[in-house]
Amino acid sequence: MSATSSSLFVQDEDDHNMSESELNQTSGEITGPFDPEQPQEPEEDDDPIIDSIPLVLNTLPSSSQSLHVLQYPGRPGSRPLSDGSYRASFKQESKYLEVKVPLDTSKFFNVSKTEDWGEDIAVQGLQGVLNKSEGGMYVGQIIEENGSKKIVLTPVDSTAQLRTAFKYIDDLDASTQAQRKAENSDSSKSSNIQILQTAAKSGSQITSSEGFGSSLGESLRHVKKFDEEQWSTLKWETVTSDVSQNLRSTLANSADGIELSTVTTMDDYIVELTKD
Amino acid sequence: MAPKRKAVKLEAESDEAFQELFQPEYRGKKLTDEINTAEDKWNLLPAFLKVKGLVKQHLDSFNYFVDVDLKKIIRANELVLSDVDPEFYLKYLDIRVGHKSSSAPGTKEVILPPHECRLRDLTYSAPIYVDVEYTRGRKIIMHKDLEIGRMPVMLRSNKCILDGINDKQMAKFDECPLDPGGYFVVNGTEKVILVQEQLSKNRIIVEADEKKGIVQASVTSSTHERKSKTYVITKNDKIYLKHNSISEDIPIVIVLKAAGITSDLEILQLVCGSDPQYQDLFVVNFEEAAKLEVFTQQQALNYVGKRVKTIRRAGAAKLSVLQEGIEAIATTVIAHITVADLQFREKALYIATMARRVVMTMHNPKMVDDRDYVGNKRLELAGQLMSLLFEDLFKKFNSDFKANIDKILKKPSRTSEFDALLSINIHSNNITMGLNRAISTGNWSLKRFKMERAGVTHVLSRLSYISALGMMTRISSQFEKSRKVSGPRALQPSQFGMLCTSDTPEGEACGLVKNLALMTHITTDDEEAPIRKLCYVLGCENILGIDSATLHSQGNFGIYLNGTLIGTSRFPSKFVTDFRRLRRTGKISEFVSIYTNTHQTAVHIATDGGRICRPLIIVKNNEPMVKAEHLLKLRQGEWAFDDFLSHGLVEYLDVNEENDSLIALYEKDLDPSQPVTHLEIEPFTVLGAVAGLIPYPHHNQSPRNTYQCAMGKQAIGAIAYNQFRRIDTLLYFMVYPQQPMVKTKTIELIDYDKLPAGQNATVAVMSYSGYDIEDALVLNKSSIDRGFGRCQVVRKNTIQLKRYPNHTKDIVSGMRVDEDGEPIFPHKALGPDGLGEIGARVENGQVYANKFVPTNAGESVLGHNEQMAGAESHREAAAYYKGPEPSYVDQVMMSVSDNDQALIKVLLRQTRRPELGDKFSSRHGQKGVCGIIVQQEDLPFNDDGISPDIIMNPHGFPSRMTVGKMIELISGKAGVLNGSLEYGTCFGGSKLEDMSKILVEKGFSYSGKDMLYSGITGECLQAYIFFGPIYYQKLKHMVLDKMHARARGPRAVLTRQPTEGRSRDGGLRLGEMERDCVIAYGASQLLLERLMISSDAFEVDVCNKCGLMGYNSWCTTCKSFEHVIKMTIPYAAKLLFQELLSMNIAPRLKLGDVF
Repeated sequence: MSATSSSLFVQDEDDHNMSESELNQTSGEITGPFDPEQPQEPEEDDDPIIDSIPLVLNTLPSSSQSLHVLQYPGRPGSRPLSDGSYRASFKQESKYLEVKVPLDTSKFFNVSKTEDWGEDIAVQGLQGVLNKSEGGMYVGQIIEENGSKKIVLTPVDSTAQLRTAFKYIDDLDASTQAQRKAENSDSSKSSNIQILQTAAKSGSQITSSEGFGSSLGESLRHVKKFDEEQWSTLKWETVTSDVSQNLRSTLANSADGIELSTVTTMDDYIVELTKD
Repeated sequence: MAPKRKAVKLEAESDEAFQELFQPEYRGKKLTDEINTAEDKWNLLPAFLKVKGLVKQHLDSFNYFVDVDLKKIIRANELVLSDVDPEFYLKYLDIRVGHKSSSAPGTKEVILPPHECRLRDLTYSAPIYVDVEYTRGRKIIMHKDLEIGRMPVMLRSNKCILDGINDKQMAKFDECPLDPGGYFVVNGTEKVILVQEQLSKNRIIVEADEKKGIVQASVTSSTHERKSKTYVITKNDKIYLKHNSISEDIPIVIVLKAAGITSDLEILQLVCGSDPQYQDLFVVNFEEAAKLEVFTQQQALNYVGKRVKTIRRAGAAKLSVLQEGIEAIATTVIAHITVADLQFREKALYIATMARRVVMTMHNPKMVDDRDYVGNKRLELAGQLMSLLFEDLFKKFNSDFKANIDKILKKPSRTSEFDALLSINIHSNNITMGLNRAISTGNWSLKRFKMERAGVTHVLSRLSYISALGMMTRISSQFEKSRKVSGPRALQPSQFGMLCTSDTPEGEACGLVKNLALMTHITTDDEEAPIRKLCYVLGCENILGIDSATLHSQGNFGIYLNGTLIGTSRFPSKFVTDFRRLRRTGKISEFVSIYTNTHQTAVHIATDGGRICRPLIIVKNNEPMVKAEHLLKLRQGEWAFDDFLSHGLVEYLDVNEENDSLIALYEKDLDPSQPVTHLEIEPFTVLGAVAGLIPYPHHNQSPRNTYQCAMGKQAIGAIAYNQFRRIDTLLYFMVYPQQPMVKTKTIELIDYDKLPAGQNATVAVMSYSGYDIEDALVLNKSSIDRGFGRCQVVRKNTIQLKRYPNHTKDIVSGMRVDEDGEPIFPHKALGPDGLGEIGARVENGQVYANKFVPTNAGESVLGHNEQMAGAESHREAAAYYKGPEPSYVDQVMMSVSDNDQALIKVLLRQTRRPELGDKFSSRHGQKGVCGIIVQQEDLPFNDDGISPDIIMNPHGFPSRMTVGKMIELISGKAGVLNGSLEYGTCFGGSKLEDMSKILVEKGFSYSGKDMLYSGITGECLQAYIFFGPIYYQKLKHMVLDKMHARARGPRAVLTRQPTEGRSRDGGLRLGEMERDCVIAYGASQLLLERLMISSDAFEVDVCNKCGLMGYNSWCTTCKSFEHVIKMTIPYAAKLLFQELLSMNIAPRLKLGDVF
């Protein structure tokens, strides 16, 4: 994803809550060699050929744009997210995405609980790490036009599974802890401790506190970097908005309609794959 | 053999009958013979051994270590930084062993040829060169070919000068071309790093205790940095995660939440899928987390962080509880899965998988794994052990180096610019010495894992060729020998074809020490990343894109790469066949294994090192892929074994994949109604090299084969082609070794026929003289005169001529002569140089090296002056020969060792005829000692006048059931009469029917029995005697080395009792049990004599008044002579009383009258 891309598009067919199973199917079938006619073992009938459809490869209209698949595990496909005002923000370095979704409080929602938590929960935070798909992952659309079918493939930059973050609970914890700390420090004030001398920081400590020291593990360094990084906000386009519709149609049709046929032989392809 | 014999018969009429004798035969087959796939596919085995060799596993592993692993170690520890100067750095760029970056390809820079290292007590090693880049002042300097130490080189590895040279060149280096290599020469001794068997790393093992209702899934994570074990266990039907560095068991739900799976639904789906029974079992775990009020990832991380045992190194920053939690989940738990960024998903899934395995086992206790299953074992070879050691030493080297430069850089003013390399050489000795010491002592101490392992290396046994070979294929288990468990010792069905079924020692190490089978390969580590990429391309869906609901859905198979879930596939069988096809075409390494486990709905791919695998012929559509034309190409030398692999005719299967295949033993078993996937190359490869010596082992009772495996290694024979150039501590040679009349294919393959250890003895199975009871053998004196069983024993005696700090040194001086000018008796064997003359006879009490040491060696250097130097005086410190039989000086070698001191080795030789009590054995675990040596005239003889070399008592057969020995006799007899060498190969060999036919043709009884005549009376014996040649081995246990008697002799200083052991001329102990017998018998005077008079009788003066001991009839306590009585007690008793007195306990003797 380039830094200039200001909008993040959710690529899908009808709704942006593409259910898990669907998504897996598409990616599963399309992820694979360019050669659609992989030699099939005759004895294996569990995956027979039903139809052959020409493939069309497409790219995003602008090189600054990128395509990502967002998954919402824990939410069945039968229960799509409601449309509404979404807010998305992103941490470029850490490849971390957050989407704020309005919370559906009409059903299965215990209002009295919110009183315990002491704040109004109107939005639900969904977060996830973007996993770079190292080639071979495509979004496909089966388009039927005047009787002829085609599959349009667009390479996917990354996928992300978005999970609910319960930030409000953590915030609550943090505040109670801070309160407790404050209380403790209050009580400790009475004890008369005088610090006579504080040791100066040694050279090695200074370097390590600069964040490049080896004392922090790799994972912790990432966490630290993540905490320090600023959120950059992204613009969310609804499915029905003109921008998304336009993009969708360009993705479906803009390709010059050149059908993909393999030039690489199976052997070359395998050599390409298996080399380090 | 059958078709060949027919051919002989046909040709018999023509003139070319003789021709057959001159025809070069190749392994029992002529070049022109027809090829029969079913019988000739065994030719793949010699082809395999040609490529792989018997010790290829050691060589492969060492080559991998020096070529690949070293570079990885360098890359993992590439930077040396200074705490003082942030500008300073030193970076390792490359590492090489044995050649410089500039040297021509193929250069092998070793100090000396290996044999010279053996003789001169040096280490056969090659320099380790690194390329470094470092800062000097403001400049960055690159330095190539910096030597940081010396690496011991494994013989015949690709860093050894013996690699890839022909027999002639081998002879030039004084090496035996048949020597397998695979060992090190450290300080002159040959050291083998035994293969170590371990439970596989980074795999989940589920175990259950059904009685206690405990299920546990454990995984031993092993990375370069750390080794740790993580458990997922059940406690009161709830599941917890346990780890050494977490102080208490963490509920699994909290762990999963800490790893980022916050939704209960998702946890349930990941662990249980949609199975309601699993869900019921698991659901209790949610309660605990809820009770503890852990809902979010942060809360869970805090919970874990609070319970982490913190062991922080000094100087490291203190972490917050949350950070501790993250660190624990990211790096401590399941350490082999590294969480580099914020993506915890893979680790979470791994923990969920462990929990799932636990739940599955709770539901069905049969889902446990078998620890002893060979597929769950990994073999650790020399290369891996060396790499562990090297990394440890290299880290130490770097930290020493860093400490050194810090010390220099700390000084604020330096006159010259600091060059780091000046101080790097100081430490190079550490690596050299560390490696040498570990190999020569066998103590592997790894600081970073806090691990100490003793007994890793062993001295290569050079008793005979086969004992050296047997040692190279040996596998030792990490299991404690003392524990009485049967599981790890039992014969596992899964070891078929991988580990020898017969070759294991008896006694405490039984079943724990194993041997490799003949046709095995041990894998080395393979790169994981390309395989992972390939899996995704073959239709495996990336695990990061799969949600919890579909992960365990019906028909979805998880794909595990080296135990880690990397994705799923809904078409596992297609995935597996596609993968295999790629492997068979050689696109991926042939040692990558893949198999389906339907119980776990999983496809497992393994690329890790240490798996045992073996080649099998692929069968397609009930037709073996290897056809006659391929075998023809092999015979004509067009194809090698690897061509069979690359053409997809043969493939390697490891134990796990083998268990997922259907393997036919013989081609005749290929039956369309039962489709198979593979065909064995040769069934006799279930046995190893040592068990392969046994003829007709499939006719023997199984333990007999095991006994032979132990005894075959003790047989005296030829050691190597360079055996007379060797100077070893103790060597045995057989004077006239013969190759066996009845050999096996294994014998030919391992070249035992070229370096045999035994002789073909003509055996009569009958009773003779009564000196043949209890397996004793009757030997023919004339046979012994002719050289049967004759052997030589050579023993090395080392003399070091030391130099002392005060410039004095040891010398050798010439002989002393008596008044007639003749050398005095002790110096008879000496030459003018003061060393034994070659060929001189040395008797007990004679000198073979007349060494003198300076009398003033201890004097300080300071008091030394010029005048005294001339008047240096020496005292005799000669090396005397001790032994009941004289020896002859065989070789004398003088050289200079490492530390510039002269090293003299004198090799003394004895030639020994068999004598009463010497031990012999056939190749069927039937050992016996020589009971009597009989004149040939007195021995029975047959019609041809042949008398036996050995008479064996027939009682040896019924209880031992060694039918193989009988068949060996018949085959051997047929071979003698026919002029051919017969085969006794396991599950094959010459057929008894054919052999009997030959016997009948030659006018003998089909049964191998002859009519014999008594040598004493001349009458024919009452029964027909089973009579023919059997291959007999002379074992190393000989009476001369053991006989021992003592009338008087040395006593121990403390107790004044006779010393112990033959080497100290000790007494024979009358022990506790013997004492009890004598007491029970009532032989009190005998008891008194044995325990006191002949041992440590001592006269004491006992005061009858105070009961204490005095001296000279004087009681020191009572100050009187009055009541002192002289009596004799054991000195040990007196000692005890005195020792008690010293502890303030006064034992008082009260004497009474006897009569």
